[in-house]
Amino acid sequence: MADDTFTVSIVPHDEDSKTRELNVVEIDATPGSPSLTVKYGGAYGGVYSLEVLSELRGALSTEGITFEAKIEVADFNPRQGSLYGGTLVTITGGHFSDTITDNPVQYEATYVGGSDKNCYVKAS
Amino acid sequence: MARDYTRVSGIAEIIVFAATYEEATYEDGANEIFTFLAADEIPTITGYTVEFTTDNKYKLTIQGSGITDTTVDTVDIVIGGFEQQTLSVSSTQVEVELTTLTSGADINSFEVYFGEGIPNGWSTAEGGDFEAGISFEPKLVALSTSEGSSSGSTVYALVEGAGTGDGLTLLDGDNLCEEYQMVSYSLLKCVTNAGEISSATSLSVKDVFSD
Repeated sequence: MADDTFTVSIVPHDEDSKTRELNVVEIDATPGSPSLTVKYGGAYGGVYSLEVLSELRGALSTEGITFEAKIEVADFNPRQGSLYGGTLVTITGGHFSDTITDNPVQYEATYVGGSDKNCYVKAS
Repeated sequence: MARDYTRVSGIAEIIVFAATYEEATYEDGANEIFTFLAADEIPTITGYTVEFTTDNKYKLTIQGSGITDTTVDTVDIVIGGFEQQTLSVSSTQVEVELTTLTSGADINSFEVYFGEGIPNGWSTAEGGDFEAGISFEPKLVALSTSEGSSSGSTVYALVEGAGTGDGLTLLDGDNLCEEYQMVSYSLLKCVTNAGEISSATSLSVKDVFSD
């Protein structure tokens, strides 16, 4: 396994979405418990099948293995703040990225002036 | 929460996007409603004073009213892009100590955030003097040594209100430093000129770019 090259992809069940190839960042050839570590860069929401191709062995069996891409908000706090902005809001949920630019946050409100609907993400 | 625009008080929807720009769903029982408070529901700040204390620190006192949902841990006073140390909070004032800055001579942005967010009275349009920013006069507090070689010595000076963006030197009437550099906030490194000072002298600090 250590001498092999792998291509890992997620194949959408939704025909309108695209197959996405993932980056293989680590191959662990430990006998009895080999593993591949891949980096997932995000995908449109939905269910995907996993596809693993070995350069030496061909397609590996991944029957029954699925991956669901989603992002969910559980809550945020506080739920009120100044009409001038500047409120630090903490949003909790699942499947957020740890890159602050990956999860933009906006709000829909009525303005006296201006058109900035963005929140400035400080950490994620 | 965006800082630059005034909104009508009332409800708004918070939308979180994935990297693909899809909108996140809210879990069962959760909702996306955020409420922008009216002006009479948030604190008001009316002005500030600056003093150089007997502890050799710059202290700012922000005056206001209705400061009720804010503690030392939840108020953020950001000057020149750096969060400063809040010393105390009451319903009518906030005391802050200047702890770091890039340049005291520059006009630094002066931002105030309470638990609710930006208060009334911050903007110039509201008659506030915070939006215009603030600058500080450098104050020489201490020297690392009071003696040195006539061939030249390295002296470190504690200068409150000045940072790496300030070009400061030490004076004993004339410029004492052959080399001078603010190596960090409040720390001036001076390599003195060769020569003698006949007796102990009182030093001062000067901006090399001023007249």
